[in-house]
Amino acid sequence: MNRYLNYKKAFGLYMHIPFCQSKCNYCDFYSIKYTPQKMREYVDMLKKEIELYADKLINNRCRTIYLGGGTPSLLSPQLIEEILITVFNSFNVVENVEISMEANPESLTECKIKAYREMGINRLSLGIQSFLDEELKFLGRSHDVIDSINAIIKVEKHFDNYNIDLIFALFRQTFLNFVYSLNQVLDFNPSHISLYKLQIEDGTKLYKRFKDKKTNLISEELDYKMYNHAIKKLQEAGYNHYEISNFSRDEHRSKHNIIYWKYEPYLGLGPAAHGFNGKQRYKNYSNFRKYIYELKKGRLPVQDIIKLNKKEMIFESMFMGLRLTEGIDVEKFKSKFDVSIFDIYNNVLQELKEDNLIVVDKKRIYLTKKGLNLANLVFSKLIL
Amino acid sequence: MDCKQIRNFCIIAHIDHGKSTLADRLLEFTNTISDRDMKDQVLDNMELERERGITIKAQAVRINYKGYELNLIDTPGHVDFSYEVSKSLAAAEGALLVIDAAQGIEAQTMANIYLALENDLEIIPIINKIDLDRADPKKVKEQLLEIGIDPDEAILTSAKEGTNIEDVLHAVIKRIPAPQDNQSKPLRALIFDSVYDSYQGVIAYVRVIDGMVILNDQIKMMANDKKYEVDELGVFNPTRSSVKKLSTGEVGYIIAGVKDVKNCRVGDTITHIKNPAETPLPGYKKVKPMVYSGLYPSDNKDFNLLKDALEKLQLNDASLTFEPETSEALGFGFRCGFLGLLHMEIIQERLEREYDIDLIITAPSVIYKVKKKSNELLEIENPADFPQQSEIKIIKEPFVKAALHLPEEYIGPIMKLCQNNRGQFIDMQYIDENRVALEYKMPLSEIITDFFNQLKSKSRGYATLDYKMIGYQESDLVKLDILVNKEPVDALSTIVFRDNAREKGLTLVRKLKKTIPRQMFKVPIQAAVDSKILARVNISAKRKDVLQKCYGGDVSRKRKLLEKQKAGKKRMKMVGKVEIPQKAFMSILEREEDE
Repeated sequence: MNRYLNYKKAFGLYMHIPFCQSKCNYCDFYSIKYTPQKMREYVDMLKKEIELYADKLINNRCRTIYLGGGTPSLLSPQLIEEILITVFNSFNVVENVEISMEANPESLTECKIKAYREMGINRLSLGIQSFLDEELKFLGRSHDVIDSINAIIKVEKHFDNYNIDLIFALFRQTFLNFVYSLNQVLDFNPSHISLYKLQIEDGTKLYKRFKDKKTNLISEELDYKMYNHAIKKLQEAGYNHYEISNFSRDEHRSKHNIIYWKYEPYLGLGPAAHGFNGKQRYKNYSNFRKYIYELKKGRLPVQDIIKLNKKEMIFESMFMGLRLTEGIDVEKFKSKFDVSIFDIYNNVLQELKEDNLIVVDKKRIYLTKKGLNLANLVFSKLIL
Repeated sequence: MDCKQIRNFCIIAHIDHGKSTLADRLLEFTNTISDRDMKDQVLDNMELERERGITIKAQAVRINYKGYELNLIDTPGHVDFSYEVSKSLAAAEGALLVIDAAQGIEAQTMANIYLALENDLEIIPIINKIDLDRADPKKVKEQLLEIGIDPDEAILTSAKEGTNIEDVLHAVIKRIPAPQDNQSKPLRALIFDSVYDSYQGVIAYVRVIDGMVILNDQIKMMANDKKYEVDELGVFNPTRSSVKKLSTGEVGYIIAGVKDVKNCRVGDTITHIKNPAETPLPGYKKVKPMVYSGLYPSDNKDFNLLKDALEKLQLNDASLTFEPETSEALGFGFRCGFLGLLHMEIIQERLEREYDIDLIITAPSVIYKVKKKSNELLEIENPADFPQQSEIKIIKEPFVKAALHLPEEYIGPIMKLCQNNRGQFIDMQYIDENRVALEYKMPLSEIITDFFNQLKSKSRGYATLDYKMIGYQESDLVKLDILVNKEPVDALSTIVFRDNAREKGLTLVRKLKKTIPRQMFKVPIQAAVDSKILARVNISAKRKDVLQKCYGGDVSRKRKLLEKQKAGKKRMKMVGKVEIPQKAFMSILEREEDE
């Protein structure tokens, strides 16, 4: 048996829905233009991929389910339900499983929202990004602010657990414009907020426009001010800042995303998806036709298996784990890698501590406020 | 071949006036090179030469035309190589003076014309690029008259379109004198360039002035008396082809088992061991570097690689010198001597391109002569080696006479530029009704910073420059130190004119502020003379550097991004706790526009 299929623990299940109405200016995720025929064909293949894994995996316990994209909400509730039924029929899904789905305002109707909730989806993640039309236009979103507000109002009715995505550090964005969008989000009081800094990725439309300003479209000071204002404001409003970019009310953290940060196993399905069994990672073909072709031949659409050595794994688990504000559990690190974190990183941890970037206590290692802002510096020092 | 049938000639021209294209046409027209082998700038072998459109090494090609043997010697045209040019000219009896019909005569062309006249060369003026709309041959003729060349002798050509190439060949035969027949005298062959071949050693490019040289002859170099046996003789037509002998008046090459170009210097004379010539040909000198800079591998591991590469380049370039040196900031490297800025750029570019070495280069410096109060005399190539100001009695620096040619509308800004660079006005003359020749006395150190770039930008590229060393003179100079986070960085020290120290210090610290990335703490950057702070700026602390969107399964990609970020830091130099990027060490070279 292939080692990458050897899952010892329960996994989080990610399914990629690669369809979009149009590509956003900043997005580098894999997506293609949607047509009803392609969606039908795709859902059939995704079901086939699920069944192939069910056949090959010895341990098929599934802890979380996540439909990401692309734009999953472009799929009719009926197609989504077909996928989820196949998942439940094929894998051993835990009780009260978190089922998340990403959705864009323009593709949501109350009827659809209700249907998603009734079939069992219990968390929606909404790509709102901004509450100013001008900013939405800059980002190349296909909805306006009115669409967003209408969508949130309908989602609230049916979902008590939903996320709003917000992007900041846009070109020429002022502090007050950011504060405005943030306050709008707070007015809705969603159970979860993801706050992303706009990143100029290779191959995106923004990349072509801002090649020379790859890191910052606004000044570092303004970026710092926006981010730290948001942290303060959201904490005052009762949100728990549990990851560099993520905030939750009560216990509504994203269980699925925490799997990535805690370096635990996940299964990734769909074109360009990645999976990880705790030791090895695999990568699916990102070409839609190639993906379909492999499955039609009855093969898993895996393009590459990425083998990791221990040093790479330790480093990855460090920079993923430190993203969580609770940090890294020293005992868990030891049981995972069979070596003490202090033996490996002794001097570096000391240095980072002296620079007031991390806190080290007997049980945990986590970023300070300064460290949250300079996380890349901390991470790059942890490379082995 | 009878001397009467031989013509030896050079082509002199300003860069881009069409020298190489004219050479290409001559070779084509005479079928010296077949269409199949023809490529642009056929004589410029080096990739760098072809790319920059310049000639670095001299070439010699034999053209057989209507029973005559025409030897074309292609010379480098740049001021850095003026000694090499003078030797190439000494190997010929005539020169084609190529002038762009639209641009007119430039400063460097003038310098080369004077060299040609000094060597008693017959000059054939060629007004090239007459196909251009802007071409104004009449005006060029006026300029020729102005400098004492008969404009009626000028040949109008378009090398690009192949117009009047035959006229050029006829003029070479008719107007350039045949070499003197000195067949019976003892051998004297002038070395006008040499290249190194890893199999055969040094290939000397020679012009036989007196006597003849035959295969297996016992020969010696007159400058150092080193003795060799001739292994191979030959000519270029245009590739190497061997011959049995080279006689008076001929141009060709000699291979004689010389292992080191240092023993086969340009300008030296080859003679026989038996029956040697009494005196060498005049004008030989060992060229000395004028400009020095520190070359450091950005990765200290590459030190030996750099050493090997410099040794290999030196095989072909006797004027390049290097000595190991150490810098607190940059580690181990070499202090290298160059003929001038172009020479320096060429060496740097070849090291990076041909040897794939990532370099940090310190600001170029001249040789300063320092007399200490103890009367001890020092020659200093590296500003970091300057003694304490209190120990210094006198500092002398090299001065040049700079000749600048420019359209008259730029006189104002260019004169201001010269004055800002401590230039002393000598003379101004009109070359024609709207072109002017300016003459200034200037410290060489000012010219080797970015004077040339500024000259070009202030004259929209129309001004040209040539300069000549005129010796050392006393100057009121001080060492300007740069402190990063309160620590002096030796590689950033420069020597400046005392009255300009504050202004230069301020410009430099501002520049460094732009190139040094923010650190996790505030970093002061200061400029000081004798530990007195003249200028200061602060780089504020880095506050934010975090990948804010990080979910999804592709963790490898994020890992690689972080690894790349770290690798980028490797190319930085740690000075104390501060990471300084390579380009900071170079930023010292460029001066702000001082509008």
